[in-house]
Amino acid sequence: MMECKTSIATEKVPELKRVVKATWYQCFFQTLVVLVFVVLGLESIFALAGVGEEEYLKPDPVLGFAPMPNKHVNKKDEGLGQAQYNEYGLPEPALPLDKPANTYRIAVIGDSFVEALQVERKDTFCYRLGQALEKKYPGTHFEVMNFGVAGYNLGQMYLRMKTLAFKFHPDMVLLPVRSDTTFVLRPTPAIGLTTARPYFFADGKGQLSVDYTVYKTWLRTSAGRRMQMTGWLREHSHIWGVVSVAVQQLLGWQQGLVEGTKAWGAAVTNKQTAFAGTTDTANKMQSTTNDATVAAPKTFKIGNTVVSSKSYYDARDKGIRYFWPIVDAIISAIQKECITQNCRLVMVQLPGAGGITNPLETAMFKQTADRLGIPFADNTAALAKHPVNKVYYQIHFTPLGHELYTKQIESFVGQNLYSKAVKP
Amino acid sequence: MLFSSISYFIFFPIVFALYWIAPLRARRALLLVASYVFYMSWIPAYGLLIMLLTVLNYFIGWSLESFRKHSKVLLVFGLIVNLGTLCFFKYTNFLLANLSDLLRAVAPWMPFSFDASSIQQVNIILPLGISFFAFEFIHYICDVYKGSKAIRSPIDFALFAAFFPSQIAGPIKRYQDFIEQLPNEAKFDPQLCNQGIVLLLQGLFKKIALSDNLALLANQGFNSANTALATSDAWIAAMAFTFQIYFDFSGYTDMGRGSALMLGYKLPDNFNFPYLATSMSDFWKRWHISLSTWLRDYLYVPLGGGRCSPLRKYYNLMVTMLLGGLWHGAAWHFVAWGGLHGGLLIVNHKYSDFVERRPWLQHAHAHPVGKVLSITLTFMMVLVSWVFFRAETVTHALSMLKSMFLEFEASSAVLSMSTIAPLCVALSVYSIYALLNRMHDNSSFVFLRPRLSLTIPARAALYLGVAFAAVGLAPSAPSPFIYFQF
Repeated sequence: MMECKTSIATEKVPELKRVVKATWYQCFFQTLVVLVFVVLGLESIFALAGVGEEEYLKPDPVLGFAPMPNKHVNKKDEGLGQAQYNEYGLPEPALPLDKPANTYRIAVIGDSFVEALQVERKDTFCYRLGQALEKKYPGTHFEVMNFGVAGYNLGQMYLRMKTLAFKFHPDMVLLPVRSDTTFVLRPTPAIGLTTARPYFFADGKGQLSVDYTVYKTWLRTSAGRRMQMTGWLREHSHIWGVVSVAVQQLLGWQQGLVEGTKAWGAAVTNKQTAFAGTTDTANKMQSTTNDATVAAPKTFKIGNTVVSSKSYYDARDKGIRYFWPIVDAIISAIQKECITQNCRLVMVQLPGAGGITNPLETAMFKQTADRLGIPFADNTAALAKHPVNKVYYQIHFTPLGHELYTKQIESFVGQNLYSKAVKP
Repeated sequence: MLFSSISYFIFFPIVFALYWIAPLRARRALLLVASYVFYMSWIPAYGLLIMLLTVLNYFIGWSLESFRKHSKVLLVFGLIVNLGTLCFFKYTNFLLANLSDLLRAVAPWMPFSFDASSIQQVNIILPLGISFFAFEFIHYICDVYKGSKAIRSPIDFALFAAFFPSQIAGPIKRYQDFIEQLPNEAKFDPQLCNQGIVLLLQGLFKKIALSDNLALLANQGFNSANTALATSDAWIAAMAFTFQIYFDFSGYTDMGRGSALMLGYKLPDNFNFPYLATSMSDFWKRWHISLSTWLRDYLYVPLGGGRCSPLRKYYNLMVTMLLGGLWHGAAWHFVAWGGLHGGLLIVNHKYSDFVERRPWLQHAHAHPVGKVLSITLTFMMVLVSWVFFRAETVTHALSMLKSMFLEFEASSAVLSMSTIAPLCVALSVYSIYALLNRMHDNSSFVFLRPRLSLTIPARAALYLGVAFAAVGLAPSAPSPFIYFQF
């Protein structure tokens, strides 16, 4: 019979020291009881502390991925933000689908900059915009609804607007566009849920088609299958949330160790020199996201090739032009849907990660907006007057950044509240 | 390699397993190699520094024992080597910066022109733990000079110098205690190992779940102290730092002691509930005990200690504390911190003399209410002194104190309370654990001692749960150990 040795650690009370023998089933039963106690204890502790609540995205057959409804999220990767998602998966309190009387609804579609999980809800520019408009236009109740989801590309924003935002009968759709819009439209092999997104293509006439190949392929991978199998745990277990963050940290550590070992004793190399990619134009294009936090380097490494920053930026600009017809087609589709729903569309420029902007992309957005007759404003230059570390965390807005951005867009949005939708 | 890093939790189990598998004669050498790997994982070149100092001090100790006639010369030589190394790495830039400031200040009165800006700072990276191993070497040569036996085995001496659980931030070991444990390393003691794991986990929880969460609050307050800080914010930040430094340093010590225990070595304890001290002298008997006893034995007593005139005694006390402050870091705010403690200790001594002559005051102090008042007053003094320790400069500390005491604004404008939930939960969990632990050790609560002993798998599950709780409650950005910079 299997035996377990047991003892009590008692440095100060040696009279209690004893060694007893337990049978294997006593050992098993006791371990089971302790495990149950530990699991329940940890779940309670983590729930009270609000930790293990960082995973909130689930696979979605239409959007690629979408927030889990009714999920409480506590993000701490940049600033410390908390959000309670409502039954429709919006980081907002419960909202009725039918618009209340004397209410003006603005649906803000976008990515993580709009979602703003780095700050409290009351600090986001969406919330602040609602407050500012109510002050400016007394007598009307403004509901600025946040439809932002981290990692969404422009096509996903369009789908979210079409499938969800219009259910709330918005009077205006506000589309903040960022300087990596073209970059995230580029189909890439999925390395996780947020890159297993649907991709959009435009034919010569500007007709859009959606391709779910990457999404479907990823779901069949071991990571995809694991995510589908663990859906319940991801949604409900705080311990699972902590494990997944710990695993990510462990993988980061492993990566750091590999790099660090190569140059033992030197500082662990950082990310700016390692871009993966092939040599064709589209893959040479890099987002400003990747080099937002560092000073512009003189050279870049793409695969095993070192290229000068001039050729790097040339390649990026070529990539933007290469993909622009798709951006153009998606914005046209958004506008068409808005006209069908009798809703105004307004575009505003958002800065890129950490405040970096891309003049070419902004110019092309303006060109598209002008052509389609969509009001467009770029007020990001005003943000550049403030110290970067006060306005941004590594990538996203700080509370001050949200406050400043609200001030930049509130009058522009106000001017367009009752403008007529223009047919392209 | 930080004790709380993933690297350490891979490094240590490997060392632990190899150590207990290895034949007896190879264990010390293995520990020595592991200690050098641990140290050199930071900057490999500085492994040579510690090696060189070890060789020099080994020969100085051996020579002190062999050539007693020249012992004074050898002692001075040893002190110059160790203090010189410490001063070069730690105080060169401090001295240069102060010299530059001084020359700039007196330039108008100088008969010749001198460009103070020509005094450039030197690019020196402070080797990790240099203050600690320099003090251990000084203790060694001083004790051998006084007649203690030198360590004969070079490997034993090198292991004493480099022993990784205490290498970076102490506790400052006494070589006599360490060496006498070496022959006892033969057998694996499960009780000792279990205590080691408990200490390791306790330290991990203190560091990552408590100290790192407190650091978020303290940093927000102190990093914005140059701007207007509300009174409540200033107090919260000062309070947060007071507990941050305790959990950080005692957590580090627990992890070091735990690791050492698992390898069969006992390291001295460094803390004994310091914030329950009833006076400043009591505080220094409970806070960083290995440093305070070192300062007493190798600085305060050689200066004359307390067995001299009161004025001389206070002078000795002040010099000891000022140098103790400077030991913590090459900056004036550390000196101010030391000076403040020196001043408070002098007041404490004076007051003790005053109380001694008045029995009614003695009774008042012995009363529970008197004790609570003494603990509160001592805590407040310690809290205020930590402001000098944490601030970047003396001016910064004074502006923080101004916010705390002179500008009464109640609003909390700077601190974000969204960090508070994990901290509150971690503090509650730790308080319950600490209370149960104290009750367990107290004979009045013998009935609480567990009747059921846990099997090894059950214990492993429990320990895994504690480690997991610590990891879960930790903030995403870990802070380095505060005492690493010293």
